[in-house]
Amino acid sequence: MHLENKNETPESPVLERQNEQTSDREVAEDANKFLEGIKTDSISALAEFSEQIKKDRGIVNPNTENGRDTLVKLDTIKEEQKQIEKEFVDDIVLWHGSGFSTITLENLSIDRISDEMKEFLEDNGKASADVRSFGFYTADSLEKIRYLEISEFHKKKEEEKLKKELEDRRVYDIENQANTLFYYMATKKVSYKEAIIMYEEEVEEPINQFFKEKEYTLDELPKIAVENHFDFDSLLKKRLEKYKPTAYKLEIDKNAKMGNPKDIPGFKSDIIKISEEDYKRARELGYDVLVGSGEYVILNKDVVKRVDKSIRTEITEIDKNTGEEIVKKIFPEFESEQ
Amino acid sequence: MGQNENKKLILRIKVAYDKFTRKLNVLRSKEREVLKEYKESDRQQKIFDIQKELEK
Repeated sequence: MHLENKNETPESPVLERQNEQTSDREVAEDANKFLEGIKTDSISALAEFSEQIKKDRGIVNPNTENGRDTLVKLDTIKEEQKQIEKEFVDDIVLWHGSGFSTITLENLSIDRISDEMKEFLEDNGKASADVRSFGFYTADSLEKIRYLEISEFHKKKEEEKLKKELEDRRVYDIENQANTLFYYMATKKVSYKEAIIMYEEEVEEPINQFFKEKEYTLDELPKIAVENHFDFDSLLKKRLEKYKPTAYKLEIDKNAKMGNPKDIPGFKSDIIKISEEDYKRARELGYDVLVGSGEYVILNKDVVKRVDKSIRTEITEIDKNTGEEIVKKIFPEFESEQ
Repeated sequence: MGQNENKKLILRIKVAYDKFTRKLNVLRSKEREVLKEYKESDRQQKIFDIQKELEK
């Protein structure tokens, strides 16, 4: 490229060629050549200019005051030339990784970045507002960038992942608790406040602050809950999962009425409370296990039942259709009730 | 690599290169001006020296 020509026409032959290439395909295919052309032109222009300054210095007589002033001016111009070169490289480079600063026109190259690098640039792009697709790096510095930056990137990603998991968990808890509160209010006919107390007592975990900030209605809770869908059986199964596999026969005393469970004679702290409705449903769901360790089971707030431990028994039956033997595990006391 | 992204990339290079050539051309003009000034000043100095010599 000749600078004299540049004064007459603002664009280099490379740029003129580029203007003629209108289709995207051509642009894509010529991307690397385009950069190479630019590099060749700019390096050539800079070299030519440097040569010119060198010639100028040869003309100037350093023994005169005028000559010495001119040499100072030429030195300044030489410095400005270096600055222009640096700015040019900086303008093209999309992103500088930390730890290096040696990109020059000579070693400038296109790096078609990997997905990993793209993701990194999207999240941490430092030098450009548009860092989604390309990076310009010196070939020998790229690995260094990865080494220096990607480890930090992964660390940050891990933190974000954990944060997201915690947030998901929080949302999940709220949705789940909304489900359960709705369940209590709808099936046990209790108030919102009573449902919260019931939740904390039965599930043995504090209700989320979310539910303390406002009193939600039966209409509102489903909107908060998981996908607005209430699978009571799943909820019950979930609650029953933690009960130990010991079955008890229940002797129902319909006249018994008790207020606070702690007033029940023989009350033990590990008594597990379960409603009669839940008990029946659990039976229907095939649970041969209802509740855990105490002598008493509270069917609901008002009725206390004494329970006897039931012995699980295996029985063998013959399938009428297939003639095959089927081993069933039952609790005879429960079976006889049905 | 998307075609549009390639276009954006090339446009970016183009803009940077245009800026580079503009600045370099300005600097080249400055260099010429400095040299022209030097030559003119040198010429004036020589004339001054010759006149001074003739006056002797």
